[in-house]
Amino acid sequence: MLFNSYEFIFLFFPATITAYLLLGHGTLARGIVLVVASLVFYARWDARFLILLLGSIAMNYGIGVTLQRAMLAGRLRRADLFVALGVALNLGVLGVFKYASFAVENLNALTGTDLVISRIVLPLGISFFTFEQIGFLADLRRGAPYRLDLLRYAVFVSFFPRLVAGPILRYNEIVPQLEHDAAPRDPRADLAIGLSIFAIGLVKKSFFADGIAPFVSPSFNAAMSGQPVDFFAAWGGAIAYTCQLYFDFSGYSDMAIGAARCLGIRFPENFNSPYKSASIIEFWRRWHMTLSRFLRDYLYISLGGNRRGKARRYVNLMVTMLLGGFWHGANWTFLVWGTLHGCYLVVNHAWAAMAARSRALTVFHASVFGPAFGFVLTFLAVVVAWVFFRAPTLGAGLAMLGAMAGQHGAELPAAITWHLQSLAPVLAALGVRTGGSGTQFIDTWLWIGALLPIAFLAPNTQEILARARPTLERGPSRHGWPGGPAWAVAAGLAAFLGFLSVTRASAFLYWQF
Amino acid sequence: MQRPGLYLVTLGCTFGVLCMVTVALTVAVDPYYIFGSPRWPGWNWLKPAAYNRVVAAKTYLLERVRPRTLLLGNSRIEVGFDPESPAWPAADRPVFNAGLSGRDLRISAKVLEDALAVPGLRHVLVGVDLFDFLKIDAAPAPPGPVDAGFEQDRMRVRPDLSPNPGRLLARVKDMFAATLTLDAVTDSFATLLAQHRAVAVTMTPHGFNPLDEYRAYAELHGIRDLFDQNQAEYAARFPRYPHPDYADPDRTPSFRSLREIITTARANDLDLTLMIYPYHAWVMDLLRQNGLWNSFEAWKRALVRVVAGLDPLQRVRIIDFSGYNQYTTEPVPAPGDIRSKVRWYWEPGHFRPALGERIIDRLYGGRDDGFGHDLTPATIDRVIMSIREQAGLASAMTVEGGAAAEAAIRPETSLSIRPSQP
Repeated sequence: MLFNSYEFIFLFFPATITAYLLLGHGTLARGIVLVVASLVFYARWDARFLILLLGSIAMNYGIGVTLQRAMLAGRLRRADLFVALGVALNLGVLGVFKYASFAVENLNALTGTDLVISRIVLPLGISFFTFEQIGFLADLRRGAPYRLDLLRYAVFVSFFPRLVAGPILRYNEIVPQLEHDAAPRDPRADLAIGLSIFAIGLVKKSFFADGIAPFVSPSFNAAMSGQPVDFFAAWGGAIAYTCQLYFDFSGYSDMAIGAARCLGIRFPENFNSPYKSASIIEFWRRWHMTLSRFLRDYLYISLGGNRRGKARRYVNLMVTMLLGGFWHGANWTFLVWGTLHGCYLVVNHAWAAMAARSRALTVFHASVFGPAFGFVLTFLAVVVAWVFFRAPTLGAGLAMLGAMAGQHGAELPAAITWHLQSLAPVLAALGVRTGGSGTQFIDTWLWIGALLPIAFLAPNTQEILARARPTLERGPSRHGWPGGPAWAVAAGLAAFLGFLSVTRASAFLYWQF
Repeated sequence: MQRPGLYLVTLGCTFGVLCMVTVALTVAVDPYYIFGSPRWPGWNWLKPAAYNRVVAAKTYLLERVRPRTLLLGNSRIEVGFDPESPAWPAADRPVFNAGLSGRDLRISAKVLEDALAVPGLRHVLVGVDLFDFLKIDAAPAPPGPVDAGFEQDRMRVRPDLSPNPGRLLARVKDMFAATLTLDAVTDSFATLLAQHRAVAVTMTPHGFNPLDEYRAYAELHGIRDLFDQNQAEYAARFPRYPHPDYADPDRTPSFRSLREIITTARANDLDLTLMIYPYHAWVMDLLRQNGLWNSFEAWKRALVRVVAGLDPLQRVRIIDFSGYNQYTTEPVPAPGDIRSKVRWYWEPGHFRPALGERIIDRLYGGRDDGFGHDLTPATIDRVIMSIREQAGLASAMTVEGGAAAEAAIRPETSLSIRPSQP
């Protein structure tokens, strides 16, 4: 079931809220309502995989309980064994469903064998609930004093607003909010805040992301089929995808955060205007923040982080980003994407270290030019990397990059060149041809022209609703949304615009991961 | 938060009021003819957005028109026959044009089945197009109804002709899609704006596309430009067509759909006429130049064979308007001549309603002036020979059409007519 579907908006979600408000008094009742609703939500996609989800919950809960007992008894080696077992089992299941076909395909290519594996359907959300449960076991091994019971654990893993695409939560971020003695809040206020966040997310997904989506595929499809793509079409496709992915995933995250808040539960922040970043380091503090946090806490730090010298730190960064890329999908394109970001981060850290020792670079960074340069460079680097994230094959990604480098020249539609007649000699000198679809060109760049300023300049959802403490990280604020009638009208307008755009529910891009 | 209750009420009311205003606007404008709202000049008389949901629009219009005569086919029917033309005999009106641009007989068969549920239907005119019959299956098709490849949920019958229980839900969905969606809102505003433009695309309530935008373009740039553009497109496409011999017509989806149409028409005692379009001679030349002439003739023979097999009493009429005659060889203005008019054609592939009226005259017993030959097992050879002769005679007269497409023609193709298959 998609958040941006009539089924969710008009049936499932109102029914869940009603049941939660009517029946959800006390931890047990709240937990039962949420687990039942979450299982129904998951089963609407494919009921067969409920067994996998429930099995995963039972297995990890069992390992977690045993692990915690071992920790309390001071039997650390036994605890280590259980962590290793839990991680191996979780990664094993993920590997079978997500990477088996990829592995066989590449083994065949390498060895010339002809092994065949039947097509495996990737269970929805498996990457997310696998990571969360690995994090849970690691937290227990690090001595986290979690209060365990099966119902709480089932809510932690299955809670529908973030079951299939995050945000990636920690056990102690959600479970304490279910306790009957959790700080009392006004459910109407939660509903008002949650619906407002959800409405903004719906607009971002259904109006912005789905609106620009048709202008992404043509250039990528053309590159995939070996057709020459001109400079403007290639950049148009790549930047349109940059916009689509951001508004799609941050819109989804807003809807998840809003849906949870309607039920009185706060989530951590997942996006903080990443395209405003002036460096790649900053970008990863703003983009898919809960994944970055997971990779940092459970992978990068486990590998040694920055504690073993500069060279090892860079290796750890590369490994973390490479695996982070591979987590997104079983395709070489994701490995290239992760590698690119690993390289970006290494360069960024090296540059920062150099800048700290250089007076000239310090002055440059303190001037207006430093951040501006960093902003442009970061954005271009991110766009280039997204090409591999979107391209179906490495070849298609390389073809797109070639096109973006001007390999097939540049082309402007006649409707544009006609208006640029005074620049005709300049365009001719630059090798800009006349041709291509005027409508496609103009619509693509109009959409980009409308959405990029929003991504670059507009306050994000959490900033707009800062006063309502929309996420766990956001403390009380005097800024933003005061919650008066004018804001209610604005939220109603956003909900209406988002609702109008839900003509044909399209899946969120991150659901495929 | 001070007053969350008030906030929620205000949010809900804003949402509700906006929904109501939107529903009122979209129903009043009715851009897709879904609701049958009154048409007012200056408000919603022209319906450019009807083509965005063309199948739905024609399904609902057909129910309202309750036609006595139904026209089926592709864009050649859609732009070539005005159902409100005085040429139609009064006894056979109302007429509805269910021609659908870019669609083939698979959808025509389904539209006919759906139309039977509307009382009053007596006559069916189906345009049959060689180019629809050039899609050949690689393997024999499985038995059972042909997949029409389009949304059938709103139809009265399912593919197996049993009543469609999902129709009501589908219609509710249609109404929803025609009101509370971004497309419906933007199309409603596009409809309002179109009323004040000099030229706008539109669909009449009888399903006809008057192609006003072609008229305007031709006045500005000359009709020759339209001929050249379309001829170049055909010339690029024709070399890619296969050259079937139609030994097994059922390998062709359109033949299977044609069987469905004939069977349905006969079972319901409808007067059925199959019409081979009057392609302009430029198109006929391209057929020859691309080696498709044999397939063209084999297709006609297969048509006669299939119809005779299903209708031994010859109640189904096949009439062939193709060939080189006084209409199809209408001269085209020279390049650069933007003043001269063409009376019968928009471009080589699409005839104007004026020629549609000549066809109507011929269908309804008008004088046989060599335009339109009845095809039966007894006449097929004579008609084919006659058109071959016309082709030989007319080649000099139409060589210009070939020249316009010369660049796109395969060099190995021959202008001479190859011997016909027996």
